[in-house]
Amino acid sequence: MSAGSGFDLKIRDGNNEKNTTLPTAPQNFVTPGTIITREPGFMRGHGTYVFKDGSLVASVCGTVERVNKLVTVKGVGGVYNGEVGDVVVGRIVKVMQKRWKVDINAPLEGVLLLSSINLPSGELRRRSAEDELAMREILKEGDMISAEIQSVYNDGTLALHTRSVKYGKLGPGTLIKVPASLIKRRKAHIHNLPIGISVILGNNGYIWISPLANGRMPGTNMEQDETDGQKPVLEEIKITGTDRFAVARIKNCVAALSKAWLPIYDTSLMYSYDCSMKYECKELLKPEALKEIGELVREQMSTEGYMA
Amino acid sequence: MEEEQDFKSVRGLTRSEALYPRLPLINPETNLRQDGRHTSNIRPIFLQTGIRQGAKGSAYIELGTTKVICIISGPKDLPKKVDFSTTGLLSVEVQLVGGKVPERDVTLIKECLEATILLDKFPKLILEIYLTIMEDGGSAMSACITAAGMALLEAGIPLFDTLVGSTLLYDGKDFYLDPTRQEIEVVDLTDQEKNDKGGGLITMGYLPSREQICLFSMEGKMGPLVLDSAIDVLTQTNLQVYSVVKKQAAHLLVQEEDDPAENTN
Repeated sequence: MSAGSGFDLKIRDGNNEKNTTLPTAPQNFVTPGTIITREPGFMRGHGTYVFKDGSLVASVCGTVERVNKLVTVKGVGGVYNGEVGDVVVGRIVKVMQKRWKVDINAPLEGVLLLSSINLPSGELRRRSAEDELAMREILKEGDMISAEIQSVYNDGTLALHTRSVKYGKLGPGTLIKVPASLIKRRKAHIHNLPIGISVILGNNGYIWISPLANGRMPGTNMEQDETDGQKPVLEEIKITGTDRFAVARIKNCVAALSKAWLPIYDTSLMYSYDCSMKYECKELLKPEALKEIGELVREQMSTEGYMA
Repeated sequence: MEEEQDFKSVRGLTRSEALYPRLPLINPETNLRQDGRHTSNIRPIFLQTGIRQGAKGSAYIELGTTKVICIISGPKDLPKKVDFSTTGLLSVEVQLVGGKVPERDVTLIKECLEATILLDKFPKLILEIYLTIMEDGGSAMSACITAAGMALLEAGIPLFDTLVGSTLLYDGKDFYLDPTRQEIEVVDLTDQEKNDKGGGLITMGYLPSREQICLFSMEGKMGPLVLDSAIDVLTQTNLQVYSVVKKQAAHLLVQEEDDPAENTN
């Protein structure tokens, strides 16, 4: 199930302030070349470089963030640079010899080695030549997966693995893309919400919303003791109307948070969901509705003491 | 024109020239340029990013009738044939609709961009920059530079500085900033050179915070003192362009908030 294939409407009337008012840039907004500080002793993070005279200069457009001695510029370009341990949602783009290439919203495609997945039958053995030839039966181009970043190669390529039962091929659901910077690193990224919908908040900005537990296609990533021998059949998965509405609502809640530039995690998502209940599902498509939800959530989060 | 008729260089007017005579640079009635500007005024700049969804960075600029689009793609893997390189590579293509951009100009723009981008940050990768001059109404090269600078900002590519560009026309007497095509055609540079009046068309690409000139292209002939003050004037003009780019850059933050997050199939 995928939502939005017929929906390319971008209703902007209610919100078309674009060329009439200048946006107020936040205080610490910088453009490349802006000198952040001349004082020595600061460590440079992403988005900065050190000039000959020792001053720290911004190299991207964005807002300056300072954590103790580490200065970074959170770029507006929002390039996702993965780190080991991140949970990501990706789409298979290529099937190659002994590996898959995955689109994970990073400069380079992620790599999923054949040896980094659990074989569907759950066996623990060396991958043989037959396995290599049968790769497409496990994952083919266009499939969605949830995975964890195992390591980072020298050139920045991310190596993924799905060697845990919570990762693997995703079943029917909806993808929504948000700026990667809105997804904070937390203990858990795969949430099975109390409303019966699971949400995978990929660190890379890709979010998967699905009525299935962990978003996953059942029966595709067996751990040893789960061998069943049966291949999953897409047609047998029943998705009810209520499920679809719930998924659509969550998707719009994520959109509201993204629009309001609020961090997206389970708490903010549930707040957003509660606020959205006053609207009918289809009303959430209006930009005013999203804006209002964003403001309500921001208010609620600041009163509860969360960083908004 | 009081100059002597040089029979070798007499040429008849073509029909279009007779119908649309070249207007002098300054309108004698208003003492301003033909489009109402002062000699030091640049045309209002229309600059917008995000014009192509799915591109890493994109920008569209209008300077009067000059229209340029810049699309940035990458950084992506180097094709296998190309040697390993410790710094990133740039591939720059400049197209002019209905015309050809001289090789020299493309090289200048490429080197200008190489000086702006922190290539060390993406070794073994190639960044593709496509510039399309949809219409050249004068100062197309500086429009390309500013558009590329803006697109790079949107793309989030690490840069030394924000790149801006502007053009100046010298007719032997005054400086005309951001000249239109009509104005450029009025000043016949070879003629000026021969008669030792001096005249030139200068494009300057500038990095404002670093105060570095990263592109300097001059056609014509100018004395050293004149050239010196031309560079000063161009630098000031570039700072004006920079303030426009900075304002638009603030839009980038808001723009991400405006579009509800994308939803793909």
